[in-house]
Amino acid sequence: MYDKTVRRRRAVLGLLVALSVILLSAFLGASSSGALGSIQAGFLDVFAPIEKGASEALTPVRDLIGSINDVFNAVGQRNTLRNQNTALLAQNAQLQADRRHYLELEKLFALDTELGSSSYDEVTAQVISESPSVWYSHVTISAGSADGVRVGEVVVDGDGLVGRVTTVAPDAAEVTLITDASSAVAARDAASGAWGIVEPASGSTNQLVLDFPSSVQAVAAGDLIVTAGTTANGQSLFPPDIPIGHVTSVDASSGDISIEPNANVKQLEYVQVLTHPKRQPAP
Amino acid sequence: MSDAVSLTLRLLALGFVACLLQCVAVSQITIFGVSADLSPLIVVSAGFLCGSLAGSVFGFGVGLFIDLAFVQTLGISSLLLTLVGYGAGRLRELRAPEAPLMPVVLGAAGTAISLVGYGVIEFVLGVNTPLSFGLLGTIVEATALNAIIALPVYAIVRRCLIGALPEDPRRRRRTYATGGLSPLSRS
Repeated sequence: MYDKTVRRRRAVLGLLVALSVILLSAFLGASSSGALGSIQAGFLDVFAPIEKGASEALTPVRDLIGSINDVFNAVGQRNTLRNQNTALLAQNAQLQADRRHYLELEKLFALDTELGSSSYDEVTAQVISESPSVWYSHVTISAGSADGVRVGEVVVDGDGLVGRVTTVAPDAAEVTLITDASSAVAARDAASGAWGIVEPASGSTNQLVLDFPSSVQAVAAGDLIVTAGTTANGQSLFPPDIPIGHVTSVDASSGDISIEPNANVKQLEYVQVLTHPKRQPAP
Repeated sequence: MSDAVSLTLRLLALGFVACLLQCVAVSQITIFGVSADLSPLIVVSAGFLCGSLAGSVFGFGVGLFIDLAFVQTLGISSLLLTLVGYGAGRLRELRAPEAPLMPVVLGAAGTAISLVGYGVIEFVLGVNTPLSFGLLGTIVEATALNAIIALPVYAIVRRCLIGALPEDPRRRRRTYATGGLSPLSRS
């Protein structure tokens, strides 16, 4: 009896490990549009409505915990936020959530009109989930191919560049954030015009660096970094002049330029996907 | 309904709800710059309570769900969480530790194994991974945060499974050691 139990336990463990290795090998060997990629996109499509419903239901809880987190993080704003939170929570948690949603959407609208991205069609979407792993910086949004979203399109929020669409299902899409290890954006200093490549800072999940700057001396702390719109090979995937972040420090000796992203990628709520350029009306 | 079926249904419900909560709430709440990761905690708790067989199967299921839901490299999470669940179950079967803070130690160990293991496997497979000392610090912070919440998570998992748990090996061992041999039982 004991031997049988031990054999069964070991067999199940071996089977599960073998299954995992087979999945891993098949996934790495196949293209993203292959069978396993389709299964993942299908799963995303089925799971997205459930995530969306749960996300909306849990918004007051998230807001409550987020407020507590802000108290710890922003010592300078602590008293103001505490009073504001107390008053708002006492009134109605739902009212607080609605107000914040409205402000997010208003900021998106302002960005759209200010930065010339109005030459693009925009799809506004809610962030419904976020990758829990420190190895990835991905979020899932509530718009997909049915809304006109396609792989490669640029995602912004009210503060600036957020990332790029990497996987699309009919009603949801996966966005790879600018803080993901695989991200690289052609950018320039809005003040001096010095250009470079914005990449995530090594070992940080919310900091960026400007690599390969054309001139370190031309970049100063506080400068706004925006998308360049072009690369050495021609047109960039990112439209020009979308704010990415502000320079926090410049080390002239090592050439290290640190950037703090404008968009708070750890607390995204609403984003906008810049889809295909609008057609100009015939003269 | 038999205990095995009841346990399976409870584990399915627990895994689904925990993964959903992780996706829509826990991942979006940062404390000291990091988010908690419920998946290794519930796998460790389930393995410790139910044994190595259930722990490994549960770990595989949760890992697969996470990989599918987040469009990550398929197989890595399921492999790591299978081993984490199996390890927690074997610890219970072999040692049956009774320390009240054991879930904290197990939660921290399970989190560290899954986070470090993920990076190592991706590095070995040649996937672009941002390995650095800074990220090591983030892993330590995430492990510490998970250790802090391990005890309440364990209590919740135990509460969810309590009616369908297999017999505690400690109780079985005590029964065997004293069954019929106590001088009191003979009198």
